[in-house]
Amino acid sequence: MSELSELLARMQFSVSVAGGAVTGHLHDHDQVVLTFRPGYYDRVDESVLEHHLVSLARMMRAEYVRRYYAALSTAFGRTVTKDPPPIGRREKEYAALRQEFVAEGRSADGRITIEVRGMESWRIRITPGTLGVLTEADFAEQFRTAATLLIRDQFAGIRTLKDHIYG
Amino acid sequence: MEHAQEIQRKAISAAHVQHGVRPELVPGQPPINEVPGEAAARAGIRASFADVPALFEPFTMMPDPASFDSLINGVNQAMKTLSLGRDTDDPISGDVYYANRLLSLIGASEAYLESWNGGAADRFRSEFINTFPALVTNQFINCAVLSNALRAQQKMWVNARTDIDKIAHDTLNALDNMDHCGQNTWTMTFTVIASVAAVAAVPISAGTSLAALTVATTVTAVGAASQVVAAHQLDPEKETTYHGETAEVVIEQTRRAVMETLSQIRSSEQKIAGALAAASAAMDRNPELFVAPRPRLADAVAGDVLSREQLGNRR
Repeated sequence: MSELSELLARMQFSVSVAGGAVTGHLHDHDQVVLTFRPGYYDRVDESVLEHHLVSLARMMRAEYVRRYYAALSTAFGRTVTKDPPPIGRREKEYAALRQEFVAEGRSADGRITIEVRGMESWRIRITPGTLGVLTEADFAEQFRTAATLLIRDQFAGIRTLKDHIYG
Repeated sequence: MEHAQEIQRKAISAAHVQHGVRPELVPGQPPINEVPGEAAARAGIRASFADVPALFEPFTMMPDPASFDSLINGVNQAMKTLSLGRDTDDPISGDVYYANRLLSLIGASEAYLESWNGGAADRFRSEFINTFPALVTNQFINCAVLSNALRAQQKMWVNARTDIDKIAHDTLNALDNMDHCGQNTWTMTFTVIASVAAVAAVPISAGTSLAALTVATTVTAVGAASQVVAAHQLDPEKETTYHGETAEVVIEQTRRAVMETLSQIRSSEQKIAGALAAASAAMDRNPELFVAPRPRLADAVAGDVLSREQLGNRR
């Protein structure tokens, strides 16, 4: 196992939004555990929760990138803080296609979908009435599945994109 | 070699994913229906990375840097013996050698010669006693050349180990990083040639300087050698940035990095060999800078040994 793999495998962190009402904890590459401040889930409606979860996704993505570059710096023994600018034709093409690439994850019951374009533009949809049907724990579990599938879809898509351009 | 096998395994596994080829069955796994062409694709992938262990294999035979210690100590012992205590810091490494008091006794012999008159006495004074400090200093400088060539060789193997290890680790990291969103680039700093330049390239010029010397200007030789040290320390480490988004390209970059290391080892060895050859050539061209001429008394025969040209008389 490479040093980078070990560092990424060990990576775990928590991020909170909405004044600490919603917390996401990432571990084991693609597992996201969602927790809510007591009472929050009972009072929130789907559209507000969607909004909060998009904020959470953005912040978790930012934290992941920060920690990923830190791991990269440790593994390669040289400080890396950002992606090098795309200079060659293929690098420019890759950067352009990556920006347009859409990854998606859907919960097992189909009530929650997470979508991200170019890892920047997030969209989270919760089927109306879901919060009345799912318990807090069930919702968190459905969200975990959707998030895991999204992360895996993102990595698989990136691999396909790289094979298409560099293969 | 452990790293080499891990690199090979990882590269093959990544290539399977890239090309949509299922990995070979391991014993105990349920059989799978082979898709036409899959076995050939698998064999092709295996062949692409078949050379990986051989790439790293030569480096398993690198000499142990510690094996140079006793040789270096031996030469440094000689430098201690040859240290006059004046301008006898190692001109290359700057190490200090305390004066060997035994060498100062040569000056005391002049008193004995005051009462000795004759060709042999005159030549002993002019060709041996007067030139003794210069000859010893030149011998000291050449020992410094030898000592630093050995140290350079030692440092070269230390750095070669570090560099090849870094190449292997970078490759493993790069193979794991290429599925991430960003560009998979990494930078390798090759340190073999730079480390040797600082300690071993000097003697080429030191040797040249010695060749141009007269016995009386030994001090200049030391000064010149020191200046050349500074000039050669400017030789920078070489940095190369690699980029690879597929297993094939990552391994191709590894091949290039290994070749660069081998090339730096070859250049460093040539540099060290060149330094030693130059020092040796300087000695061959100017033996009088290092060894006092053969006493004419050695060729005296019974008939002339007591003549004025030879032993002469007691004053």
